Amino acid sequence: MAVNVTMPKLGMTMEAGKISEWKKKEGERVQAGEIILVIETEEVSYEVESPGTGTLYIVVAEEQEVPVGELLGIVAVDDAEYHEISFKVERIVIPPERVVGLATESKEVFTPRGEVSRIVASQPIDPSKLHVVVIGGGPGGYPAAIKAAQMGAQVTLIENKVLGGTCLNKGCIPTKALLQSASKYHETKRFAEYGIKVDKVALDFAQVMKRKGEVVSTLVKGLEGIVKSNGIKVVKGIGTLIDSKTVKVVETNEQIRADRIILATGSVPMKIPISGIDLPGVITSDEALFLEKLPETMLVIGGGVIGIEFAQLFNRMEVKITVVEMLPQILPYEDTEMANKLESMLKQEGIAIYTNTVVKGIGEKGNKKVVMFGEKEALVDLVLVAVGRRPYTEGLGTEKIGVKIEKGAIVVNEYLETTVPEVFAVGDVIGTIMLAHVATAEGEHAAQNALGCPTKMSYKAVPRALYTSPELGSVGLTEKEAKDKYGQIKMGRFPLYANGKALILGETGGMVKVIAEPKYGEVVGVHFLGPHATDMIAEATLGIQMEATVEEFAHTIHAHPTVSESIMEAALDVEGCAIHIPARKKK
Amino acid sequence: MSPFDNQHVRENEKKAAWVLQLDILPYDQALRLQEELVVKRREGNIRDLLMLLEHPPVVTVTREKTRENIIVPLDRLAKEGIIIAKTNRGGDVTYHGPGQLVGYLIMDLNHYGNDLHDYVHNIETIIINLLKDYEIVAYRDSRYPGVWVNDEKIAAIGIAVKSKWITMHGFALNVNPNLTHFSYIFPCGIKDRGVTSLAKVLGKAVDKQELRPRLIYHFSNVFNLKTEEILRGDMVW
Repeated sequence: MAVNVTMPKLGMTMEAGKISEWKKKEGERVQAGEIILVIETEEVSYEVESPGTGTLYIVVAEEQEVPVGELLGIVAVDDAEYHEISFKVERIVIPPERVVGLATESKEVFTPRGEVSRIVASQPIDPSKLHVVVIGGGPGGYPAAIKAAQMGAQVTLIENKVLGGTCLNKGCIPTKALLQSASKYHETKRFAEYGIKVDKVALDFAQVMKRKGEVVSTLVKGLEGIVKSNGIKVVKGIGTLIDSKTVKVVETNEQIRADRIILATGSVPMKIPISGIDLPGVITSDEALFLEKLPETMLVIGGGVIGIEFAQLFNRMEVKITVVEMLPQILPYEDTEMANKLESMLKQEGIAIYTNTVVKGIGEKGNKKVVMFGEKEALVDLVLVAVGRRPYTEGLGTEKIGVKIEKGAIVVNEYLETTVPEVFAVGDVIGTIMLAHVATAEGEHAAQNALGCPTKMSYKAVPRALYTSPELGSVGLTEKEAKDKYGQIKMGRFPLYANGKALILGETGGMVKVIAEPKYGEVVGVHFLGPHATDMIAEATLGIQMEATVEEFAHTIHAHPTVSESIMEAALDVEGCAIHIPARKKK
Repeated sequence: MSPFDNQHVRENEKKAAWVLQLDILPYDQALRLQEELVVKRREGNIRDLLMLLEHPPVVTVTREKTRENIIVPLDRLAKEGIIIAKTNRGGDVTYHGPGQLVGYLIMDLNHYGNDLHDYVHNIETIIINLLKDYEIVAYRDSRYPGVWVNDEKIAAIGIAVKSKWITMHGFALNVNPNLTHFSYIFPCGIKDRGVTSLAKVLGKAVDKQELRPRLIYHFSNVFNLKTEEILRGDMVW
C-alpha cells in the first residue's frame, strides 16, 4: 500500500504552498513520523512528517508551488511488493489570485494531475479479516457489497432510502415499466392489422402506476433477499466519513470501523438556473414517476435519454408533448444519423421536438405554466426538467478525509480508488458514465481492488440502451467519433424493413449501422435502431470487447428469422456484400 | 522552583505564557536556544513562550536562492561587521542588528486552531496595535508580508513550524537600527519598497524600556494569555 504525501491545508485561507526543501532523497528509506519535507506558505516554513515507513518517491521538485491537496510525493510502505509505480506530472498555469506570495502575474507551476497509478500489493490479503463498508445501496453499491461478500469479507451496506437506489426505485425500472404499459396501449391501436377485434380500449392510469409499483417492489424484495443471503449487514441511514477508516451513521451516531470503504452515493436530477424553475408543476423524473393523474399537456426540457423516454411514454398515453433541446440533436451522445432518424419517427407520432433551442424561463398563467423557448411560448400543465443528473456528495464528509472532488464528482484512478488510499468510489458519484450497468461493473471492480485482486476498469465496451419504440441500442464510437479518431473508416448499414422478423413483428422502422476502423477491420461501433435493440446490442458489446472484426460479425451464423440478422447484414454491407439489400451499381 | 523542572502543563489550567527578556544574543546561539525550547514545548514541559532580544549585525538567508538578494559583495558585509547566517524560518533574506527588537514565539498551534495564516495575522496585529500606541498608522499589505508604514516596511515576519505544530522565530521590529545596513539586501526579496523604523517615522529616539512592556501587553491581548516573566538564570544549556 502506498501513501500519498500531499500539500497540507495549513490555514483556512491557504490555497497553495511551495516546496522549500526535501529532507530525504528519492529512493531513500523513511520512517513514519520522520521529517521528510519542508514546505513554505506566506513566510511560514512547515515541517512535514512521513506518513509511513518505507521508500520515498519524489513527485514534485523543490521550489515548485503546489495547490493544497495535490500530490507531492509517495511513500511506498513496507509489507507489500510493488508491480508498478507511476504518476503523471502536468505543467499548468495558476492564475495570480491563487498564487500565494508576491506574484503579480501568472506563474507556471508543476501540479501533479492524475493520481498515482495504483500501486499493486502482491502479498495475499485475507478478505475474511477485512471489514468493507459500502455507502449507498444502488446498482453501484449493492453489487460491490455482494462481490466483497462472495470474496469472503465482512460487509456492511449503509443505505438511507431503499435498496436498489435510483435504478430500481426512481430510474431505469419504473420508467421501463411505464414504457411497457405505454407500448402495449399503443399496440392496441393496430390490433385490427393482426386480425384481432377489440371493442373498446381504454387506459387505466391508476393501474399503470400500480403495476409499476408492483414491479419495483418485487425487485426490491428480491434484492433484499439476495443481499441478506450473502451475510451483508444492511444499516438504514445516512453514512458519513469521519476518517479514512471510520464511517458514522448520522441518525444514530453509530461509528463503524472499516478496513476498506466504497462510496456509491449516486446522483440527483439537475435543475437549470432559469426563472420559474421552482414553481409548482415544474418537476423532474423523481416526481414524474409518481404522478397521480395524467396532464393534458407537458413540455420536456432536455432531449437526452431521460427526456425522450418520458416524452414518448406520455405521448402514447395521449398527453400532448413538446420537447426542447438546446444542442443540435436529441440524444447528444448518440450517433447523429440514428438520433435524427428516431427524431423524425417521434415527430410522426405527434411529439413536437425543437432542437438548437434554449428554454428561457417559465411563468404562470392560471394553473398552467407558460414556457418561453427560442422565439416561442407554450402553455402546458406540467414542465418536466430532464437536463441531466449530477453526482451527489452532500453530507458525505469527503473533504474531511481528503477525498478529491472535481466538478462535483469524486476523482478516482483506473482502480476506482480515490485520492485517499483504501477508499474507493463507483457509479454516478464518480460521473464517468452515468449508467446502472457501468456502476455495477465499477462496483465489482472496486470490491476486487479493495480485497487485493487488482483489476483495472475499462470503458471500451459499454452499451447504451434507449427504451423508446423502436428501441435504440448502441456500443462503441459514433460515426463522428470514429472519423475523428481514425480518419478513414468503413461503415455498413442495413434497414429493418428488409429484415423478415421485423416485418413479422410489424416494426420495420429503424436501421443498423456497423462502423469499423480501416486497418484491421476491427468493429469500433454498432448502432441498432429497431425492435429488441436493447437486447440485440449485447452481441455487439461482446464483439467489441473481444476486438472482433467485421468479418467475424459477418460470418457468424445468425438464426433466421430474427432481428439479430440485421447486424450480420450490416457487417456484410461494409464490403457491399449484404444478401438482403438490392445490388448497388458498382462504382 | 525553576519553571523548567519537568512539570507537565495541564490543558485545563488558565492559559499563561512565559516571557523571556534578553539583551543581545548572537543569532546562532539564539537559534540553538529556540530549538531546545521547541523540544521542551512539544513535550509539554514549558508553556508558550515569547522571547525578546536583539542581535549583533547579521544577514539571515533561508533557501539557497535567497542569497541572490544580497546585493553587495560579501567582503563589504564582512568589512561592516555583518555576518551571514542560514536559518530555517519561512520567508526570504533579512537583516537583524542592534536597535531592532526581535521577538521569537515558541507556541503550540494545536491550541490555536492549527491555522498558520491566522497565527501570522495575529503577530501582525500585535505590531500594528503597538505602533498605534505611538500614533503610527501601520498596516498589512496583502501582496507583501510584514507590517508597513507609508509603504515602507517597519517589521518583518518569518516563522517556522516544527513537527507537531510547535512554532519558532517570529518578528523583527525596526525601532532604531542602522537603516543603511538594509540597503545591502533586498529585504524579504522585495526590490521596489524601502525600509523604515520608529525612529525614522517619529523623528526621535524611542525608549526601549517602555516599548517592550507595551509589546508584551499587546501579545497577551491578541493571544488571550496572561504573561509571566522568567529569568535568564532559570535557563540551563
